[in-house]
Amino acid sequence: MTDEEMRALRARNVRTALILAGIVLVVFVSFIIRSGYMSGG
Amino acid sequence: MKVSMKKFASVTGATALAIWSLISSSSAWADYQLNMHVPVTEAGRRAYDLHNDISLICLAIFIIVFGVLAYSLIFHRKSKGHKAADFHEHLGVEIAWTVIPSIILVLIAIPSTTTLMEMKDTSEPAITVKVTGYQWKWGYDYLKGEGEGIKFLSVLATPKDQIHNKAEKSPSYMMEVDNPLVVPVNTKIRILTTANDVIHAWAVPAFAVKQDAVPGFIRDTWFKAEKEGTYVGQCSELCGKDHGYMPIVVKVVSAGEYSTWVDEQKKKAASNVDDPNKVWTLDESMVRGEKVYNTACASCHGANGQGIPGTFPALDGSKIAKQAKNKAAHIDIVLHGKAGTAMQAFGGQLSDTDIATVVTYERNAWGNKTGDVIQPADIKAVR
Amino acid sequence: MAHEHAIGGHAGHDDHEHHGPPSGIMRWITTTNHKDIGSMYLWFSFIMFLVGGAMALVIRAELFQPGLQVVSPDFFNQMITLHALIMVFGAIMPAFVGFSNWMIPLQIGAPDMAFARMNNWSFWILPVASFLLILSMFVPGGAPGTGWTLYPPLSVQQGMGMDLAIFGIHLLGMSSIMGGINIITTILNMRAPGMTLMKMPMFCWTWLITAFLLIASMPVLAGAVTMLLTDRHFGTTFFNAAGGGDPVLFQHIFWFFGHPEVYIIALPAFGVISQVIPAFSRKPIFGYASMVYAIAAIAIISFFVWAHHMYVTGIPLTGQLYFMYATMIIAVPTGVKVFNWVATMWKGSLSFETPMLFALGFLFLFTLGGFSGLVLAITAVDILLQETYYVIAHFHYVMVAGAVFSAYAGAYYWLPKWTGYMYDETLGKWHFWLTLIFFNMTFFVQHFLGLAGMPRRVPDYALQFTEFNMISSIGAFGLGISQLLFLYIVLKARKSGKKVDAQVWDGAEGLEWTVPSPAPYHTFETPPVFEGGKH
Repeated sequence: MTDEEMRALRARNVRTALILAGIVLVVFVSFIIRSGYMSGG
Repeated sequence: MKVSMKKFASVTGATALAIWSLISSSSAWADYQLNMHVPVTEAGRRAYDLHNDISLICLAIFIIVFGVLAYSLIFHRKSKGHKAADFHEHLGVEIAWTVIPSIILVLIAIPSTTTLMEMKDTSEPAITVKVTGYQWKWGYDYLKGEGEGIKFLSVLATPKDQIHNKAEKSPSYMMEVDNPLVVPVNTKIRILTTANDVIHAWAVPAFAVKQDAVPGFIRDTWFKAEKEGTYVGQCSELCGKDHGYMPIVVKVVSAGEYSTWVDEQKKKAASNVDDPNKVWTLDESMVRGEKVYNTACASCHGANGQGIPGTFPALDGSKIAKQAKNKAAHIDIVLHGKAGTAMQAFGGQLSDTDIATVVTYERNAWGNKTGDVIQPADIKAVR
Repeated sequence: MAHEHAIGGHAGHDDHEHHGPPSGIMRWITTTNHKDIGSMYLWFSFIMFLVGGAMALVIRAELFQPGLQVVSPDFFNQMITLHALIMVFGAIMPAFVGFSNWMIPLQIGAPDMAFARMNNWSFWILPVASFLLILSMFVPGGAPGTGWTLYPPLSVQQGMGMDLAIFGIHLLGMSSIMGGINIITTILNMRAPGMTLMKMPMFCWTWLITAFLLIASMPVLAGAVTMLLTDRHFGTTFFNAAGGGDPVLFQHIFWFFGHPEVYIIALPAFGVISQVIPAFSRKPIFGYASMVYAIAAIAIISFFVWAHHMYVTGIPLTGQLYFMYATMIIAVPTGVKVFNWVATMWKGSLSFETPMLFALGFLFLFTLGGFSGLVLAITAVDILLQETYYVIAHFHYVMVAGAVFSAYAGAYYWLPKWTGYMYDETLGKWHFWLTLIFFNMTFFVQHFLGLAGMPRRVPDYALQFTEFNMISSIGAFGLGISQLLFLYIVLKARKSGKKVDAQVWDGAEGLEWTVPSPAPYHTFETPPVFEGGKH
């Protein structure tokens, strides 16, 4: 694998990971907020 | 390889034989109950039949699938020189084993739906009883119908000595209470469940009834027992230390016996009313207070006031129970409980007299010789 | 080239052309090598398996006879809580993460995991989290006595052990999420040229889908325990009726995590079985595509069935009906998988080495667990069986017979690849038969206890339940002791096992069998060309 390919792969990996981490954050926060509403604020 | 497999087979056989002889030599063979109790309610019997039918269907599928597998395991062995075929898909069978199970599931779903709808229909009860879960006892409150107004607590009656293996266990070990719920036969009883502290669940298998009791909410269920007798169940949601020790006992009696029981309860309630203005002496208070303490407090704080270190505080020598300046705080914590802990509010469960005497008891028992005597009037004043 | 015995503790010199690992303990603390990390996961999970098992034996010892003999009811409740948390989060999940670390790069032809340093973190958080869980036993008030479900208000009543457990669960969740992100990224971006998704080994497929389940469900658990923490200490009332909240809300959130969690455990187990059965049938897996679709279907449906754990909490009739139907639907894809495995063996050329025995044991017992699951899905019947020993029997058939049997199948299957040495086949068979017999002795009788009405999570019981409890307890001790045999087998293989070739099993397929045994410290630094499987 050339250095350039390596860098491209790394960038792609980081992008994938950031999207997944975003999902995690959204799920975590939305569940707490929704529960807050359900329990009367 | 073959030899070792034979060895395994013989070891397996010997183990099975040993286990079997252990089982069959036991004198209590009658205790091996392999299926549910047959419920004594219409809805319960339907659920029971449903369970048997589904189990049989599962057994049939199991025999078919593992019959095929067993054939394969026996005849398609490498050791028998069987050469592997090379197929790896077949649309026909794949559709078949998706569709056929789906059809079986629909067939199961139909009776399951109708049975469930019947079990959930709590309309038009003759008698309504509110059941309250406490750590660790049940409270029964007849709200509507014959017996309206009757109210009592129901606590495990098995002596501590039996639990701690110091005495022979009676046949009704763990399945006995001081005051069972009494209901008439062939009458629709609606049960409302709620709880005082944590979630409990009121369950009687013979009625096919199980309903969580959630603090702050009311849930309901019902039963109509068709046979007189005594039926038992247990709390079915983990509720803390003595979760295993709060059984449910229901006595189903004839209509006549029920009326007699209701009359007795009313009379007993009338004669049991304490004079709220009575002035109690220390000795009188200690006798009554000890009784109250043992039913309401001892399960956490211990019969000798030592509590359980780290979990339930000791009362013997505690600041609240011993220091004169904390008298009011002591009454307050018994009446209203302590938020965020297992210390519940006893104001709703115990009468002024009970609370007064138990506080007196706690302030004078063990090493707490304060000499304080609390009167029912003191409690009434701060309620 | 001197190969590392990556599964072992000794760190010899390494004259590989790349820089070798540091020696001694620092090698293991600083390692970013997927094989080292995989081995640590596997060792860790086995240790936790023994710890959690010891706790189970405390429970079974107390239940040997009616009455209180061994522990107090309070400590009993702490044991049931810790047993479950340690087994689920400390033993079973790390075991399969260990497999994924070892095998995914080898199976897809990648040099390592996508984020090697994060991988190190994922692992080293685990011992800390488990330490917190165990530490909670020794603080005032002890460990949480709530069961692993941590239902409020009971969990709000607990002492500081509960806070330690919550912190521990947060850490375990972080570890799982990082692991999940790592696995998805590795599988999506780093497959060898020519390996399309639909040509991937089944084990990688199950982990790809499992990792998505982790990503979607772990934050939900984290949210639930966070709210529990603020209810306990910061005056919120998410789960307190007096402040407008609802205790049952916690159960909804918990099981929204909890049900996918069941499949987080089960799917990788399916993956291992889907590798082992074709290898010892010498025949490609039947219905590869439908297997993949079935896994995906199970994973998706698992998010829509959570309240079947809550039939008796008072959810309305329509809710009960919906969750009953949804739950029954899961039986279809699960059935498809079982049928596919049977069809894979049909007309194969079968042999019965230890991995295959464990796979067959899995198939047999997991199917039984599936059937009792179907019984429990029927709301009207579940009302009789909820919170009884029937439920305990059911999920141990799924968890122990499902996950643990599958983990053993995988361990025996890949152990020669990891260490370069063959295990003792006779002892392996002994391990299997003892485990099978004692497992059934322990848990089969619990079906009867549940049907007769014995509630779960009680330290004491009525006299009518005595005999079956005794059988179960004897079985449990047998089961526990037999597992030590596995440790002996692994150590013996490393010490005096026969050396093996790259292709350990004649019927096994996949890139992992193209590298030497033991697998060198660095593999596939130049991606291999994948010729495509037989699918």
